[in-house]
Amino acid sequence: MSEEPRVVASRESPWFTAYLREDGLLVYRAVPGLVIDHTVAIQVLEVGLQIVDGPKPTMVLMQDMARVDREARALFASDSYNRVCSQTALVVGSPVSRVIGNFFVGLNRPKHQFRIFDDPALAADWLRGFVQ
Amino acid sequence: MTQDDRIDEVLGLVLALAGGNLDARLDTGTRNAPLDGVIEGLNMLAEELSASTAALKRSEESFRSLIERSPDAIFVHRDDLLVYANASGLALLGVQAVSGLAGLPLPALLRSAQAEPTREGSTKLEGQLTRGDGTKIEVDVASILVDFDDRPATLSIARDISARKELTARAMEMDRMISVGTLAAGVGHEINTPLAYVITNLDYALRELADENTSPTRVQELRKALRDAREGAERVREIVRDLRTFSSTQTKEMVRFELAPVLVSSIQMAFNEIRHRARLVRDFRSVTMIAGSPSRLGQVFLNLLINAAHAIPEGCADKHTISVRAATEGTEVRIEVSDTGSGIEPEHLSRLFDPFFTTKSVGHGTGLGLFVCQRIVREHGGRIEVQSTPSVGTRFSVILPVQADESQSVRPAQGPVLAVPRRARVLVVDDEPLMARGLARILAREHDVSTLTSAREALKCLIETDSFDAVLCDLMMPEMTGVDLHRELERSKPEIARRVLFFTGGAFTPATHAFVKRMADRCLEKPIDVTEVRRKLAQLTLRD
Repeated sequence: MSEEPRVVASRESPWFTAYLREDGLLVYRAVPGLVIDHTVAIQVLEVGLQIVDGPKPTMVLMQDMARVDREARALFASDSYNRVCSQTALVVGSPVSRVIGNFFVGLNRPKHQFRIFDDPALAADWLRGFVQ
Repeated sequence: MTQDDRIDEVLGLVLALAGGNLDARLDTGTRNAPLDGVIEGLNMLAEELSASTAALKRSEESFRSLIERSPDAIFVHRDDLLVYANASGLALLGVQAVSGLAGLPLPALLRSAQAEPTREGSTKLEGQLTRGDGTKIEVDVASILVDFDDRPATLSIARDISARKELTARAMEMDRMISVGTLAAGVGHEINTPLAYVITNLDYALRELADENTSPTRVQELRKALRDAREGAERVREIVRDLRTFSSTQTKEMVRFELAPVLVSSIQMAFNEIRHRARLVRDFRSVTMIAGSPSRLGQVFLNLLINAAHAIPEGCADKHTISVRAATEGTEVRIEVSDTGSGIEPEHLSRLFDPFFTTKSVGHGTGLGLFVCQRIVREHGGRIEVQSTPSVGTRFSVILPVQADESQSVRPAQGPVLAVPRRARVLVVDDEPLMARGLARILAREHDVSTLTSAREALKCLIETDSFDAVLCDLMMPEMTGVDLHRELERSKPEIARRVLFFTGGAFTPATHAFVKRMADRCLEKPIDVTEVRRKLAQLTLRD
């Protein structure tokens, strides 16, 4: 298994960690059992903006996430999200995270590219194709 | 409620179900007809999933209970580590809980089992399992490859067979005793006949010797009577020797020996069963030496001979034959015991060597005879073959490897001593005064013989004086044995210790048996062969 590229910038919140990798990918790692409501969703964008200077291919490690509220989903599907993320790979694990991911992609129809992965390495491979 | 609210409710339901809450449900109504259909479907699915999960849980608990409460020890292991053991398995290993398995080395037997199984069928091994406290237990293990926690592992089921093995061993011993018991009557008859003419002739001799006017013709007759008595006693000695062949307790001891005498002993033991049923044909003159246990192989031949005899009805001895043939074929010796008896039904042939299989009526066989025979022959690196035709007869063939290794010591043939021995001073020590007196009388012509009936007295006499060139000593005596006397002499009078001959009627303790084995060239068996005593005494005194 190859090592994850070096982290060049990172921020932590009580609900997640966000970091920018040397290969140009922005990564969000959610704490287990996280419920993303509107407040947390806004913080996701704010923290992202502190790290990146423009939209980046983004990997969301949400294997143990519990729920994403409707307002939060709406925010992630809006243009605001485009300021931080260009493409998004949702890495799911549990059935719950898989439902969350599929509901979001299927119901909210986000404006930019979202894909669901089981394997973070495959997700990173896909995202690296968009790094400029 | 808006459609988005309702969608959120549906999402919540799905998340709850996906999160494992199978009791989650949503009310259906008429508020949003298309979504109500979806909700109704989800509720039904949740209901079915809940029922299936409960059934699965019950089934899993049943199986877990079966596994946990199984009297057989069940182990799951992989990569030389135990990952699971049921209660019996934990007890077998002397471990309190499954957590105690961590760090426990995988028992060697399970490691062997791990190397062999396939998914297609279980493999079986038999051996010893070492428990936590270091004690060993006899088990048989059946193993198969399974998936455990999503990874390949070996499932081994071990069963304690100590009690079964002990029972089988006892049954086998019982079978041997039954064989010997069957022969007891015959042996009694065999002994009684020569004994009758020993007594008759000795009575005659004593009566005649009482008459002081015995004529030279009568003296000649007396000599003849004593010779007959001697021959009768010799016959009794041979019978006892044959009996010893079968009563040896050192059954596992492997030695290099001649096959023919063992066959002869077996025939003589079985002869009382044979002679009323068949003529006996013997042809085993050209067989070679083999390695093994004479008593155990003797038991095999005896068993085959008795089976052969029992296949023939009594009273038609002139119409039936039992043959014992042996011949060397390359690297093997083939011993055949055949009879012209009733034969074996074809459907019984395949079960012939199964334990407890018998066609004899209740009380006439344990069904272990051939099972034991096969086991003994296999232990000797050989095999047993059988050919039989109903109403024609049966032939059992025992095939054994020839003992090619000449390195194992074989007692050299004992020829006569040609040098003329000198007259020696001999001390005979035996707690049986008649025996001591008899020996003294026989040796008196060539040697100066004294007798003592106590080893302690003998020790005192030998230490305090230098009056004897050789000692003839009984091995089993009360208070102080011949072994004890020899040990004391080795310490205090080693030159005399080297010139002691022992005679024994049988070594009954392990220590005595070991002593007899170590001193084989200086031990004589009772009843004593006087020629052999003279020869050995001559050897001892010539050495000086």
